[in-house]
Amino acid sequence: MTLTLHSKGAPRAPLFRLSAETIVLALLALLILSVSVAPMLRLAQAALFDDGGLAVERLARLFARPQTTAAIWNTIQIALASTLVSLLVGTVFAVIVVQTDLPGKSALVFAFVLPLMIPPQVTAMAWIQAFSPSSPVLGALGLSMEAGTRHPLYSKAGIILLLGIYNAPLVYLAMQASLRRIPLDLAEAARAAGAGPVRVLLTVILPLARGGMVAAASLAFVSAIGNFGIQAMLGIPARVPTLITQIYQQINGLGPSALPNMAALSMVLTALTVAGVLLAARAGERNDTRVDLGSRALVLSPGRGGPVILALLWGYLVLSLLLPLSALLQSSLVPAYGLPLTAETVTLKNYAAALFRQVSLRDAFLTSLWLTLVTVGFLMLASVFLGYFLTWRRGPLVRLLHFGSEAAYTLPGITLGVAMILLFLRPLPGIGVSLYGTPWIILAAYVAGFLALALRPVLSGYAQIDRTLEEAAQVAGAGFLRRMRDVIWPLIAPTAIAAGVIVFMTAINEIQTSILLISSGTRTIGPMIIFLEEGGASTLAAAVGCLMIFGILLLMLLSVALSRFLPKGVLPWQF
Amino acid sequence: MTGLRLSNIGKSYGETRVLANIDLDIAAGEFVAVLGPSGCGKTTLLRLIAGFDKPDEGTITLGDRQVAGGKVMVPPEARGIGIVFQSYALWPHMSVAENVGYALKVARLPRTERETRVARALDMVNLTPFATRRPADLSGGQRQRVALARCLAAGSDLVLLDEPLANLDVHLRAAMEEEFHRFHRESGATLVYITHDQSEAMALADRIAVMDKGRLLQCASPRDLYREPADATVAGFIGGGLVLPVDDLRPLGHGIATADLLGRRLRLRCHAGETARSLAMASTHPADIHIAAPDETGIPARVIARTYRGGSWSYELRPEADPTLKLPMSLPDTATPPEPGALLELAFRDLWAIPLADASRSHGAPPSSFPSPHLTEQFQCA
Ligand SMILES: Nc1ncnc2c1ncn2[C@@H]1O[C@H](COP(=O)(O)OP(=O)(O)OP(=O)(O)O)[C@@H](O)[C@H]1O
Ligand SMILES: [Mg+2]
Repeated sequence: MTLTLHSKGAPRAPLFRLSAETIVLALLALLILSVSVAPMLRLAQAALFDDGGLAVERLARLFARPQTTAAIWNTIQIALASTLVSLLVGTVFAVIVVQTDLPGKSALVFAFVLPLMIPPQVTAMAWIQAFSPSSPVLGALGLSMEAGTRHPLYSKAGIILLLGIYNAPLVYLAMQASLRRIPLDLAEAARAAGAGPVRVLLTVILPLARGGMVAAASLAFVSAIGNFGIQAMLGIPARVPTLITQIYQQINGLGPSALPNMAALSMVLTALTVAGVLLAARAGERNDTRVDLGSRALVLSPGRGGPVILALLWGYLVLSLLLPLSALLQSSLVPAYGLPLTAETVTLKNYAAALFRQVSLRDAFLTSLWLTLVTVGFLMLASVFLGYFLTWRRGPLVRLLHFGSEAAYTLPGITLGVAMILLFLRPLPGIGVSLYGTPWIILAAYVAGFLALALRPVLSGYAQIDRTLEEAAQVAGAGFLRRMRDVIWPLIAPTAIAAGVIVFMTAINEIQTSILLISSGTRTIGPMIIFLEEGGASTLAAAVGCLMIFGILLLMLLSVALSRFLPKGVLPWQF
Repeated sequence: MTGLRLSNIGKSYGETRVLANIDLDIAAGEFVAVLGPSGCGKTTLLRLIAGFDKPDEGTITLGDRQVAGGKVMVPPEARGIGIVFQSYALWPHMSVAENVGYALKVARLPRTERETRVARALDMVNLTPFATRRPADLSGGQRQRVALARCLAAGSDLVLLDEPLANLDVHLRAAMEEEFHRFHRESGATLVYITHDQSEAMALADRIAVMDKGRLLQCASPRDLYREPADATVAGFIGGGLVLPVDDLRPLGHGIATADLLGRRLRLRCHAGETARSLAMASTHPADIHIAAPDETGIPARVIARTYRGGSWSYELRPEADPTLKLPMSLPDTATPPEPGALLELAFRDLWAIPLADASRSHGAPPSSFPSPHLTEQFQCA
């Protein structure tokens, strides 16, 4: 007869095993509290209170200033208008990808989503160089403008256009998911009733995808508000102040004395973001959310229109991706900005400088690299545990975790930067050292800012794991950490690694939080482009930008190659 | 050997009361099936026994160790039970042998002993050639057998099974039923087997616990359950039973009574302690209704409809004495079966007087923390 295994170790086991789980849960709660809840509270306190209580007078003066009202107004205008642009481009693209049988869709999607992964400051620089009066590519095409003309992108319209195009892939991602969920039979019924493809699209498919469209619009709106790279690269030279550039310029120029007012502006920024998110949530509630029925979409054949549509799509991609990037590449290959690229002028000295000679660049890159790697490692671990509790456990502490991880996500990067300065400017109690000016403050900000980014794919990974697999391990006698190692981790690992890659790509070039937190001693690579461009080293900046894009491209291709090990829907750039 | 005792178990999810007043005593080595309609709380009961959830009231005792109730809550990993999940729950990243040996590894058994026990368990379910395969490369029946081997190897002496056959096709079910029999015989473990399939429960279990709406209605051997249902719900549920109202029930002693059914005085089986009542319920089964012999006084009933079932006819009849009733009957295939409209004389081969339901049980009285001795006795049918 078989002997019983469990009775031996049982008496001491329950207490210890229960507490391993409790300890992890408590640590996670502490993490969320310190990276999400505490910064928000500190921000509100600094914004609203002075030494003498509620800072009514200071706030009144701040909001009476013309720059402030202009910044708020510009922010709203730019965000709304660019959302419209994103919505138009992204929806058209999503409909074409989901609802037609055009060839080469995978490549189309890859090329369309790629710009989302390029840091916005690099995109902005590429566009600036491509469409400047002395543009290397426009010149080569014989389209160059007269020297001395004002740069067309240095304007409010330029910011709107570029933000709109930059965020269009976000709309595409949200829309394609929602289009795929529309039951096939609804569209087929309309076809059977005699409606042509375009009519089905306009009267059945798009109205049904309304929920997705609202969600997509909210995403684009929120990202536009918080996009520092484009607003700074175009808005500062164009003298179009927005909230985000105001905050940066004031803190940069005035130092800590500007903090209370800038905390107030950060709160306005946060309020706008939250309004965008809530609006979408409200609209989403009223929508009929159907279950996914096999996720097969109606394929409308474009017939003879096919080649025309394809030509337009690729034309758009050439104009929005290839042209700016090739301008960037050209600039990076010539010794001085504005020189044409010829056999005589071509040089790799910018790359050599970026990679080997410029000590500040190399240091910045190395700082970014280790900060990012530590962030990625930590967040992979944290999100796997957090995902476990959020997916499978209930209780007040779990609700707090949920709220906290969502809240950190809605905080725009620059707001997080201000909050982090406020939180860590004063010496830490007990140690007597201020984290401000050290890389650790940047690390804390990265962890806070990217927690939700890492968590999202991990949660979708957990949703695809059968809970009984864990329960079976529990029944086999495995305690919490043992189950985590033997059963959960092997199942969630591919997703966690994908989440790590996504965080890596975003963090390595991060700009908006870093730009407030870096100091002469610790710089990261993301903001360097702005400094180089401001300092007139455009060709070097272009080389750095190109290197960033190469790196991103490499990682994306690598992840696509490994995608068969991943659950569905984890990589955004995969069709 | 581990027996299992549930005392006065109650469980609610928010406002909904999912389980109430469950008392159940399972002897070591017994095979008990838990039978009930969908949503009656079977899975909830199993999760309480396993330790995935905590009962709101009552206690659970495994062997002589209390594992839940009051301040005690032993986590599943320390209860030493085995579970066969409906979805098999085999770890996809481990081979068959690794799946089977996982509990032994967690318990830090020496490698050689682990290997012998895994080999023996795999041999017992005829899966030795599949030891190195991944679960993904197995058929449904093979996966189910891996899940069984996992319990075998772990040496759990209490194994819970939640509708283990629900995912398998009909042919495989018969084969797996045999497998469960063998598993029970060779492991000697106590088995709690959840199902909503009566014939499965009848074929496998020593005793069947019938549940409905979060309550335990009766726990008895399959034969007792069929012949002596404790209340009208069980009577109607088991074997397509019929529940008929009778008047003037009079026990005659020795488990026999008489009563008026549809205008005729008939004999019934009844409890030894049955009391005389003016109104009562009797239960019977379609198979126990037949056409009265020429010398018998039958109950006149008219044929409403008949259906050919291949080798037999099934009839629907309406007794003349009570046109609101419908009685089913089955007749062998003959050349001249009675036509619809014909008047037949019926007789009952077997009738059982349903005992008076315990008031606190069937009328939803609040759970008392001290179950009456009578109740405990009734459901401790060993
Ligand atoms: N976690 C939960 N939260 C709320 N209600 C629950 C939960 N789990 C079960 N229930 C409810 O408890 C009742 C009993 O559920 P249970 O799963 O135990 O039924 P079951 O008898 O196993 O049914 P089936 O035969 O369909 O598996 C159901 O009404 C169900 O909706
Ligand atoms: Mg169930």
